Amino acid sequence: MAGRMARLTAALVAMPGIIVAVVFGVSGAARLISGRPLIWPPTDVTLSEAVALRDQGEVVRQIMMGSDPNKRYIVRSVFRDDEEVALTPLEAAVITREPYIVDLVVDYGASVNGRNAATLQCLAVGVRQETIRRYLVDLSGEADCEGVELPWRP
Amino acid sequence: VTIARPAAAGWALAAMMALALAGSVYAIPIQVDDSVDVIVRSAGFTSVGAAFVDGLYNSRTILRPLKQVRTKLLLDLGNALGGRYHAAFRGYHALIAALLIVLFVYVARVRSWPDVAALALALTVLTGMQTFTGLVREAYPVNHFLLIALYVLLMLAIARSRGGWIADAASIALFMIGTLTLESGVLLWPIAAAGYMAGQRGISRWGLAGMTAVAIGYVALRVGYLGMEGAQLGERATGFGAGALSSADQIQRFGDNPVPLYIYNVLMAAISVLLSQPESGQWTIVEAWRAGRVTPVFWVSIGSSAATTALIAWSMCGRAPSGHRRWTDPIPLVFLAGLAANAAISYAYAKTEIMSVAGVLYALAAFAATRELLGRTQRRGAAIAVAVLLACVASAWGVRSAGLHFKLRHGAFDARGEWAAVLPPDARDRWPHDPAIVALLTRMKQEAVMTRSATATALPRNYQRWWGED
Repeated sequence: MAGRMARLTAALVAMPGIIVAVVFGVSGAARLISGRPLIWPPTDVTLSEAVALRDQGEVVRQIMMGSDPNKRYIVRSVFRDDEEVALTPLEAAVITREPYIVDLVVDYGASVNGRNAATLQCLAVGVRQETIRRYLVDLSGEADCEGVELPWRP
Repeated sequence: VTIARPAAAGWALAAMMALALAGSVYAIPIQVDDSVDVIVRSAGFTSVGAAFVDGLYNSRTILRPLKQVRTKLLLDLGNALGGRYHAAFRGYHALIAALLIVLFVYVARVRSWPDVAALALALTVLTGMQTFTGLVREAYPVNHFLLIALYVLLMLAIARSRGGWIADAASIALFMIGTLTLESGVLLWPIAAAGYMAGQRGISRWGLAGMTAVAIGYVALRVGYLGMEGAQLGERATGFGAGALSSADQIQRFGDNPVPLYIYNVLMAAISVLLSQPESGQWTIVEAWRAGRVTPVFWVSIGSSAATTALIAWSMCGRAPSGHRRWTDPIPLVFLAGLAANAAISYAYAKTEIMSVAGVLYALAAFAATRELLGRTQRRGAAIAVAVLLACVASAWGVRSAGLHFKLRHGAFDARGEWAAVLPPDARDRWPHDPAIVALLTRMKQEAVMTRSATATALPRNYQRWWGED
């Protein structure tokens, strides 16, 4: 009886460590062999999704691989659950409310010009990001939000 | 046969844990912060000797010439591999991390099935400790704290060997390498001495004498020849109570008499290993409590550490079959000496990684204590209570150990993202002027960015409640 209890105790003590070692060991081996772990592997995202998720490395990778930083891409369930919306990387960057992401997308080739300046500035107003709005004004001049249709409802 | 099978199970467990760690560490790109400047600097050295000499003279407070030597060697290896710098630097880091696990298991010496269970728990303690995260998440570009932790285990392995002049020479060489890698290398001496006091004779008196001579030579080199200073008051921000003190705050409050701050730092450094609080000198749970945000990570980490520390204390206070107190056994005594010495060198400011040696020894002490408890025959009621308590503690450490991999995914995400600011295509005026450096950075950036990792910001936010803000 005492021996059975001792074995049970030892098994209970060992189990969490064994589970962690086996689960992450197999995942780690997969990472070393194939470059892709089984636990928390990289997921496929569009360029605008990478921007929306503030994944700077992925943004740079996709642009280096030839993605156009001025095109519109689908963004799924990032800003709101069960939402699917088509945004340019710059629009997604403005919605993140993070100036460094806007800066990154501009640094890597996205243009702010007469065609998108009003949309971007009005989007910045919509998400209440004055720093980003001023940055965009510096790049393209002040735009009027009257009658501007936004690609995403703030 | 009864010994071989548990030993094989122990090694299988070690192999899985080492693979897990190596896989997560290798996925982290070379970091820009703290690494790229060092690598670029190494690229300017014409030889390994030049890197060593530069490491002797490039600072008034730190003496780490072998860190530069390793960086230079790994850079040369990356060049020899045709520009595969990730394989060289990150492969080396992953290899050292895996070796640490292997050496830990070697030092633990698994002999029975209860030992295997104790080892499984101890490996989660080792990898789940907050002092361990920095060893594998950060690189400078070679994590010298990890190297010192590895050397400590190597020293213990030598101390437990049969000894002889080769063991003595190896311990002296290891001590020299450790001290010239990082200041924490001096911890190897008290650990070897504690092993000797506990009856281990793998390192003889002559070996210890040789290490003492090296220690004296090290001080003479630092202070006498190079005129270096120790860590100064206000060298960097440090936690104090529930808040933190900036460098200016420290000088303002403790400029006349820094001793109270130093005593606080030493005590809190030791307590942080035993309780997982404070974090870098700061009692973060107090702030979380005030803000009404005490997430499960606090209960899991403090609860598991407090229970494990109680288990270790119980084991140390007990008597071995021969009648002597268990705290005089090799593992407990080395842990106590390592904890005290490690805390002492943290006097100037609190930093979690500095206590990493004590963290590794704590995991070894947890192994010894759990083995002791599992080996006891108890009455039914007590046995059930022990089983429930140990199951809870082991589960909590399992959660913490899994959390390490979560933090390493965050580390990979952050490190990859840092490269976006290097060589920005629309700001060529900010690029280095040397074409060779531009070529080196271009290649490293390409490798880092192309190494895909999980998008940490897309992982469920609930994970952070259990594994901590990253």
